[in-house]
Amino acid sequence: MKRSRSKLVNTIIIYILALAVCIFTLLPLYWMIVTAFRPEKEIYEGLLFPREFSIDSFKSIFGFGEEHITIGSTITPFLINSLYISTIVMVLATILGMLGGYALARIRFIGKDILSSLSLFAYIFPTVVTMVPIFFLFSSWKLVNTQPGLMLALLSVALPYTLWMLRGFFQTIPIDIEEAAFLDGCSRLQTLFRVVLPLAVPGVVATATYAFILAWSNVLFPLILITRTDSQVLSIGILNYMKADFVPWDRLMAASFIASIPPTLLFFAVQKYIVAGLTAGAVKR
Amino acid sequence: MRQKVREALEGYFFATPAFFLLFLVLFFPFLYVVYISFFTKIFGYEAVFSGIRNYLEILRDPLFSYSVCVTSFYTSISVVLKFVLGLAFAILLTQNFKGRSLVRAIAVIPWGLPLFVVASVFFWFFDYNLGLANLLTKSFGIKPIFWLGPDYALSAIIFVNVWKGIPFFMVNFLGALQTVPRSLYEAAEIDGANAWRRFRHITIPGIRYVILVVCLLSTIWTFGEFDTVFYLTRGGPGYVTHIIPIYIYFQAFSRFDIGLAAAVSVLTVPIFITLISIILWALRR
Repeated sequence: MKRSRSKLVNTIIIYILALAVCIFTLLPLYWMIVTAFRPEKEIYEGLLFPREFSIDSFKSIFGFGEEHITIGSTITPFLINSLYISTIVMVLATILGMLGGYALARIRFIGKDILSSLSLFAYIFPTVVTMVPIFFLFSSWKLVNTQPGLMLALLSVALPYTLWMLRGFFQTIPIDIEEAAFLDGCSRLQTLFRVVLPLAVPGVVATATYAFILAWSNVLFPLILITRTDSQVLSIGILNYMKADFVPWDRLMAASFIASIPPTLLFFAVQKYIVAGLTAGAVKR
Repeated sequence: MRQKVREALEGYFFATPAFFLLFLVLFFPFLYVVYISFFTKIFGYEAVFSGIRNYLEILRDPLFSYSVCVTSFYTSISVVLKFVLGLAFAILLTQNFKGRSLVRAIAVIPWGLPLFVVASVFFWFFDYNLGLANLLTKSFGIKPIFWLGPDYALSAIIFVNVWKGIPFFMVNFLGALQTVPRSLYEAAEIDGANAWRRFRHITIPGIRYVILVVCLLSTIWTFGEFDTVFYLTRGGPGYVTHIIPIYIYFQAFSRFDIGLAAAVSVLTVPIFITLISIILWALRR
């Protein structure tokens, strides 16, 4: 009897804590969503709960609203640029990371350990260290204000990540299968594409997805490299809303909501694979 | 012998594209930042060699030492809070209760969100007049607080950093906790060890390397993080949130003193290299 009583108390405490965790995490997001789906006038009433539902803010940020049509007030070009740039960065980082990561995982050559460590170093290193020289070098290479320039800079973030992660994924694939392929007369490239890759598909997809998220979420490089509105990306589009004298809260939250959808959905789809990746070495023991 | 040379050549063939690109956008800029830090270089003017003058100037600048203090304070408090809350969340999620996977799914949401979205949401959340934080304090009868004002801005920044960073700790700890053998706990229970002792002598030692790696990674990333502060306060009000990345940014992009900004970047490198070396050691062990 006593035992089941203390068990009940335990269960109640667990539920209270679980509820606290959910409220803590969801409160700011609740505020974003409520604000985004409210008519503008309701925002200034200071209500905790929404009364009316409206998608005017979304119409407005995509340029379908009747009012507030000023330069930089629609996010459509930013959104397209973000999608385009992040996709290209993802594809390049994945292809190069696949080749490089395979070499680091499987092929024996001098300098391999150093290159492996370098890729981890490069992944962990914060970009603040390279932001000044990248800006300076890119301006002398005429890459400032160009989308290829921005993609190159973003690769400095995405490529170390894909290299290190794919190296890890390739290492988990049994080597016997590859050796069998060699005996059958496959070349390295054939082995990689016909034998190793099909087995590593989940890892490759997850890594590519996170590379997309890394490019999408970056602020520093578009901030310092792009000044022209027509080649700018979403992160800076949102910053522009925030810098206004009167911040258009409903539109800022609508734009934030749009900006959070692709990375959030993608992250949930692949998080199982991402999570284990980096600290795998420390977890194993 | 020929076999080995052939294999090595294949290795270089696979690894070259990725590492050539990394050299271009990362390793070369990294070397260049060291080089340019010995020059007086104002953007738009010729670079003049000046030895260690930039370094002397930085060390004499009271704002720099102040930034170092702010950064150290903000980083250490953030990492400690993320560690404590991340471990608490993880332990909560190892308990058996209905809806656990839903709570877990909710608790990891912040990981996938881009920092710029998180920052813009909290910019609105902490708004003095209409933000949810102050609407809540009002409904509890407390006077509204200037969250992003001089007294609370640093705490607000730490809060945002912790909110965003907890899932990384939580998920890694959750994975590690599952590797601690159940039998150890059972044996300890039979020996009469209470919950705290089991936690202290089985859980913590069982996941100590994960704790080390996760805390160090987070220290580096928190130290180098630019986005939250830039979006929320731009280092202000006054200088209360003037962290090192902001210091570098403003030296380079508003005073256009490239040489000085480069020297500051160089000064942060030893810290990062030391921490990363410990991580490499812990991962390889």
